Amino acid sequence: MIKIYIRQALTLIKQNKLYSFIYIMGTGLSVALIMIVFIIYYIKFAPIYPENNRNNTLVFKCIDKIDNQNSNNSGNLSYSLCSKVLGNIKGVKDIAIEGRYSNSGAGYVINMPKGKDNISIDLTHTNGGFWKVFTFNFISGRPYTEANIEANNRCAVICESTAKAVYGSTNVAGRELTINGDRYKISGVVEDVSAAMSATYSEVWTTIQKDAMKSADEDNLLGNYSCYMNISENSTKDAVRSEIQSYFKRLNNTNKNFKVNIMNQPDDYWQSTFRYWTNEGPNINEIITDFLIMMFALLFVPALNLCGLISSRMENRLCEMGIRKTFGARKKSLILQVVCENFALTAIGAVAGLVLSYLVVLISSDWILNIFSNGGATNTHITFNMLFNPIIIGIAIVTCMILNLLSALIPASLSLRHNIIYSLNTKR
Amino acid sequence: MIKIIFKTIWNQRKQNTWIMIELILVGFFLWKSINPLVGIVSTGMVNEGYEDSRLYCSQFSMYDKSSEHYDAKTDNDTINHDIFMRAVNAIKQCPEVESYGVASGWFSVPNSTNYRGNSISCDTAHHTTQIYGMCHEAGGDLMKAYKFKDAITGKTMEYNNKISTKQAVYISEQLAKDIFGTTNVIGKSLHFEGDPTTLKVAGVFKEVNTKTHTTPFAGLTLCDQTLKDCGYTNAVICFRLKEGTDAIKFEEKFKHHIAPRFEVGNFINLSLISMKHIKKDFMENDGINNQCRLQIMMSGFFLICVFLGMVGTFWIRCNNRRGEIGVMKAIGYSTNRITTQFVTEAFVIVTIAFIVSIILMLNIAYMQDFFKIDPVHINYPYLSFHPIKMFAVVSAITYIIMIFISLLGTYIPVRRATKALPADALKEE
Repeated sequence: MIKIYIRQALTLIKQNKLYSFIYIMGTGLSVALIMIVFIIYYIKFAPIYPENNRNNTLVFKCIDKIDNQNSNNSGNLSYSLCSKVLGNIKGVKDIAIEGRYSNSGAGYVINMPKGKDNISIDLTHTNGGFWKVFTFNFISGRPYTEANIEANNRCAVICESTAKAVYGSTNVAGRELTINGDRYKISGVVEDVSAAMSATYSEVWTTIQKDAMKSADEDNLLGNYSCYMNISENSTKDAVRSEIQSYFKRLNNTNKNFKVNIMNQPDDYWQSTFRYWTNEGPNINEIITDFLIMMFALLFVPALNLCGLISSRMENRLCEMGIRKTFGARKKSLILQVVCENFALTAIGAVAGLVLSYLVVLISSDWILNIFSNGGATNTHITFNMLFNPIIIGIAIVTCMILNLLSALIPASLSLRHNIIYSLNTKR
Repeated sequence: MIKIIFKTIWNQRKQNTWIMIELILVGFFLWKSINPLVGIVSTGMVNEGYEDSRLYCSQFSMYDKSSEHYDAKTDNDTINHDIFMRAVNAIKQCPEVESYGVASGWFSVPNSTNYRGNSISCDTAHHTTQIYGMCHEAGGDLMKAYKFKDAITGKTMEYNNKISTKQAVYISEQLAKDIFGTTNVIGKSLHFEGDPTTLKVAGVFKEVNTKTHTTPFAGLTLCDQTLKDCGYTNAVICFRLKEGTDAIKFEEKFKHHIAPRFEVGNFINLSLISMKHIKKDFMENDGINNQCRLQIMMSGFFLICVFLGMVGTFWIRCNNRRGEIGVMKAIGYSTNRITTQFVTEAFVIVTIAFIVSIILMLNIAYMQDFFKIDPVHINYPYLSFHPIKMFAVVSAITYIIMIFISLLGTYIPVRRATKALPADALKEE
């Protein structure tokens, strides 16, 4: 039966080219936009290289310190707060500490030999645990360790494209590199990281120097660092979260000079992507509501559009439906026929939409992955895994089914309410 | 004709319901998408109060104590000041440079993401202000380099030599009005909160929007700062090139011939960046571009939906009404008359749907405090600070776009249907 419906659907596509074109285009556009939104959020939240442990990571980025005069001072965390307090919390397996500060207004440059232009780079200072929390693929060499940090060594890990730009090769572990006039020993070279990976993206990662560990804050709480904590197998995120929150509760109770507001941190990784400011947390309910409203708009507006089209066409086909009813067809099977016919069109539209969404994401990757964030990022490249995975394809199929049911069920049921005589009379 | 149109719309109410619901939803979402765009664009259209063309910023980096290149012997204020001033003079003496000044940090440069603010007061009245610092001791004139305009004369702002540099503050027009009720306030006293030093107004300049396409948070105040206080790696040398200068050639000259001369002592890497570039970065990093892109994508999507819905529905409907069109042609209706009837039908449907969606939007806007406005902002010329006007403008734009798209989506199928000969069309009847 389904085969007959599909054959009938294909015949109808050939007969009503304009209708089919409008239907496929409407569906394709809707699926494309929904898929773009899902791809953006998938890349933002899902475990992707080198942030494969996102689901098992807690993030702590900032605190708001309020003194007795009710004066606020908010910012990132000090190195000692990250390493000595958060790093020693029960249940934390590894802790990545990273800072993206710069002593120079002009950022960082790799100093090239005379006659060659210096190369501007994005640089991140990290601890040794960074390489345990995040799963980088090393092309050559190995990561620097906590021992290098303790010894105040200047070590660097560079990405593949920077290695090629500077040396013309990736096999450069052990060589030296000059950044803003300071010499660093290259520990290793890693595969490039997309700028869409907000926690790990950089072109060069260097050891945090002893001087940079000092905090300007007299209470040694505020500083330049964020931290990412991997949870050990025998603990849970909730347990670690409550452990951290009770630490700050104790700190606030015992301290009379200031209070620390941790703004419901540590966050799950996905929540941390919405934390833009250091003095206020994200309003997750508002973000979810906005997302649902957007999904509603993207699904229902084209669904209504398609409803209108199907409804108009059903008027033309009332006679056909009347004849089928006369020969004993049941309402259920007639509705199934309409739904199946439209599903063929919706499926074509969904495939077109999915392809269109991939094209849009690939062409505009420099900005589209950050479209729901405040900042923009260049160097955002898309990998195969980000686009072609079961979750994305599954969402496309579900979207297509919902759209099809929404647009075909109501007009089909409404027009099939008429009795046989009325239906047959429409073509008299 | 109007009677016939309303009767037709009523008779076809079943088919019209879908398009009507779609139009109401589209009207609502389109309004929501266009609103932030209108806010950003209208704010960008207001004069920013300075000129960004041919304006450049230059800043030093220095080796710090943790660097192996750090030279403790040359790290003293006399040597640092001397090297910094040599760089300032080298820029000043370039024949391409029209004017220059030294800002005390990135927070004193338009479109920087850094911000410094305080409360400024005269007697008991306190007003929030954004603060720009300028290093008068380095020579030049920062306001002249930025091309701020004098609020009274309308000419380019310049330092007022009659008031001592340490005491002089320059304030924006609206701030002067808010504090003193007038712009004629030169010589009047002010002071910053927490600082007992009495300052004197040395000039009033026309409103400056320090963050492009963003409504200002507060009026602007410029005051003096010493180079030592602001730090040699924080101070920004701002200069404007003369008109007609080849910017690319100058940038090359700066990079290869000027900057390397000052890599002495602990100083390194005298950078150069144009205001156009700073502005572009600001729009990218502050989310302005992203918001525009998102809203344009959403608006475009809704409009294509409306277009497809109108074309589809009217195409099918025109085909269903070919017999009716044939009768109309047979009794002497011209093609234009038939087209007008169908297009007017679409116009009426869109207008009714728009009225419903705007009533819905009005209620939601009211619930979301859209019409509430801080009295401090009421005198600023930005559309976002005038919610009633803003609502009217956004609604008008939404209506015009919806009408245009729906009429286009109706005109194409109707025109096509009316081209059929009456005899062919009558066969359908």
